[in-house]
Amino acid sequence: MVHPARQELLAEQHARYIVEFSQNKDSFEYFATEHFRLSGVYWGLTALHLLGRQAALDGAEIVAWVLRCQRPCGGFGGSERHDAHLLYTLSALQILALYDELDCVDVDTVARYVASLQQPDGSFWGDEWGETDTRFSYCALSALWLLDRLHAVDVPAAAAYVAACKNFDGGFGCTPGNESHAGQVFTCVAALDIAGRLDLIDRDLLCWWLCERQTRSGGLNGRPEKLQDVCYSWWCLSALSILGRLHWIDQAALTDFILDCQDEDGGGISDRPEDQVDVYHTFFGIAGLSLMGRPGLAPIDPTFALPVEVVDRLRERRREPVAAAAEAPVA
Amino acid sequence: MHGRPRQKAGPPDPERVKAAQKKAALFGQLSAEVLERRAAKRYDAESLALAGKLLELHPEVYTVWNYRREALQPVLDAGGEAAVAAVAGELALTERALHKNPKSYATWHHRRWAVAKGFCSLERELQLVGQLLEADERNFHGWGYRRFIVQLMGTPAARELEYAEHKINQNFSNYSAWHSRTALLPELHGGGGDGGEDAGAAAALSSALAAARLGAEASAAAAGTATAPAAGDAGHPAEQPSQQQPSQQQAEAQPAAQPRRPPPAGASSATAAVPKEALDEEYELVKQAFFTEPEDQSGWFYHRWLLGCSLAHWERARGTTEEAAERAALLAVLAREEQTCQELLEVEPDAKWPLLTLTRLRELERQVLRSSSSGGGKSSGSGAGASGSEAGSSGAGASGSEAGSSGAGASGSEAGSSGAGAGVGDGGSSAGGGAGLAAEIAGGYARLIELDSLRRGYYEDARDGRAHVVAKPSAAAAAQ
Ligand SMILES: [Zn+2]
Repeated sequence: MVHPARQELLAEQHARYIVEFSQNKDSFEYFATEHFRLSGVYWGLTALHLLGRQAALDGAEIVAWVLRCQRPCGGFGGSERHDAHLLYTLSALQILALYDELDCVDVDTVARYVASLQQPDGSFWGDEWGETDTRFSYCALSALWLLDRLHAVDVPAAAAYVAACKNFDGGFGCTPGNESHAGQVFTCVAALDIAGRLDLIDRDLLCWWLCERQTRSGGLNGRPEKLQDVCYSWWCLSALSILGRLHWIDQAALTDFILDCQDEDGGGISDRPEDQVDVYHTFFGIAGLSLMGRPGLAPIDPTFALPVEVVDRLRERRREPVAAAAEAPVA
Repeated sequence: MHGRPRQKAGPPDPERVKAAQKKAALFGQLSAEVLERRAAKRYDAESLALAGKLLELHPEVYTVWNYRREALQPVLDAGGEAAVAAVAGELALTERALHKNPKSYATWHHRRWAVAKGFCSLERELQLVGQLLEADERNFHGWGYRRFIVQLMGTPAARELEYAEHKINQNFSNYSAWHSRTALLPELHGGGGDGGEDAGAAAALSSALAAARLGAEASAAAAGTATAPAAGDAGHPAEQPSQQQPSQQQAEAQPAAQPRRPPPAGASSATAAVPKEALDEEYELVKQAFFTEPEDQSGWFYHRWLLGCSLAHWERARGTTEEAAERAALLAVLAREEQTCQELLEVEPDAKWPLLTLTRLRELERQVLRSSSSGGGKSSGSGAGASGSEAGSSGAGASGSEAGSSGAGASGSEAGSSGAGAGVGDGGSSAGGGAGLAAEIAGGYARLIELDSLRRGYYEDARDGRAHVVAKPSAAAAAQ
């Protein structure tokens, strides 16, 4: 049963919550989230885009700030004072893509940074300190796709490494031998999608495991026998969507669960009903609703976690010069 | 933010607001101080203590871990007493940070980095992570770290398999432990067993690759270090053999770590390596889980994997002289497992997991029976095929246990009645048994849709032959 005040998507309140959060620079959360602020801004901004309220934040100011987070190596830190890392390099490029400002960076410098982190086995380090994780494989491939520089890395090797992380349940872990986790499943499925190797996935097995993440509450968990949580609305749904099995879960029940996690007073969405809201769960709740085609929300791309409109714009632009180049020798 | 209760709306408590502002200001000052010292490349004890304090409060601030590594790298490279003391300090700090946040990626990575330098006791690490997994049995960081340590120590797979069984016996719903078995069993049986030449070679390749990956992981954890600690380095007397592991494996990793190698097999596909006798023991273990916690999904996911392993033995033998024997062995396993499901359903007729598993067992049975009647096998297969097409599901029962087949038939027809006629094309090639099985399968999915409506979409696709989680689509269906 959804709380009476939460039957509808409280779009206005959520937009206000995101804007206020980004402007409250005295809170503990503001300091505590400094090292991943680029991701926080990406979550908030993308949510606003999906809500059709992107104008609520000052784009020029945000783009200028993003550029200040770039380090001399070409990668981006989580904020101005933090070291370069693949996680935040992707967030930075996603924000620039939202504003159609990818031209502001030197594409080849960033691509070189990403490529420098690929290892001989195809995996990626998150930064120079050597943490290896399939999350970074996704960050690398997604970032390079946004830059139109996929060829800067060994894509087949990257896909082979991701495939080596496949488990007995069809899911994926962070390195070979590690347990499946819905968040990791998203990164691996999306990475294989970008690499054009969805054939490496045991589609039915994995999607069955994913639909078993839905609990009686209607919400989804991230691993067997764990609690449901709004953020898995994104991690599980995006993978199911890429693999064409969205209909394997009860979308009406999940929609009710997400709506019931709204805070009707201050806006925002929490992990579970009556918990404290944050920007992360607000974004993933809205993104989940968008994937399920909720009216009033712009559609989101399940692979790139950006509005479909933004991804289409990049695709369109690439098609034109390619077509021109193909005609050139004829002329 | 996870699991923190929402504050009630209304005027905020001024005391609380004041306390929160103070906390924010203090944290802001500490961050600023630490990051300024970092920018100034101050690597003195006082600066590192401040950095440590910040990390204890907030372990995910990765830049500050980078700061500590930057400062300590030269000390560790130099080796000796100072290096041993430095690693001990990092272990103590990461332990406190993990106490604050046991899921901090940055902290776990820092600990691996410190441990990979080889100046500490791996036994102690194993003990500590064992304690953590006692308190937090599903922590996948902890399980991953345990694998890292065990590989550095060169612990045999059999010993870790015992550990996984110990964790399972503590709690049958420990999915992490079941997962661990699926990775360890193929590794344990990789060298030989009755896996045949191909499987043996594949398993050997797979374990070589596992060693290469371990090498890559250890060298990744040691990133930034010019050299792994040399053997005989003063200052780490207790762990001589273990210390050498990273550098040895790094060396081994070199030839394997070429780009464009064929992808190493994931655990989900390395199934034929586990011998049938070992699988039987696993079926027995998981059966105990079913009778203890029939609602828990962990054991059932494991059981699905076991079925895949059993199926792989038969598939590998297709077209060989072993086919008939493998086929009979598989049918016996299916009959035995059907009986287990029937027993559970007698106790709890609406239990979803035994019903789903029973339905899938019947799908597998149909696949086996079909394959023989369509003449896919060599001559030796025809005898077995005849017995299969004679009686369908009861034929499978006959090769296994006597009591099982009648039980399966009884409840099958019951369930079948609700969904019979929900068109499952059975190819028409098999005899009456095939049609009976088809009705039982359709009936099973129809009942599952009623019992577990959240997953209606999946059950419908499975019922109509559009989804295949265990059995493979028939050749006719695949050709469509
Ligand atoms: Zn969450």
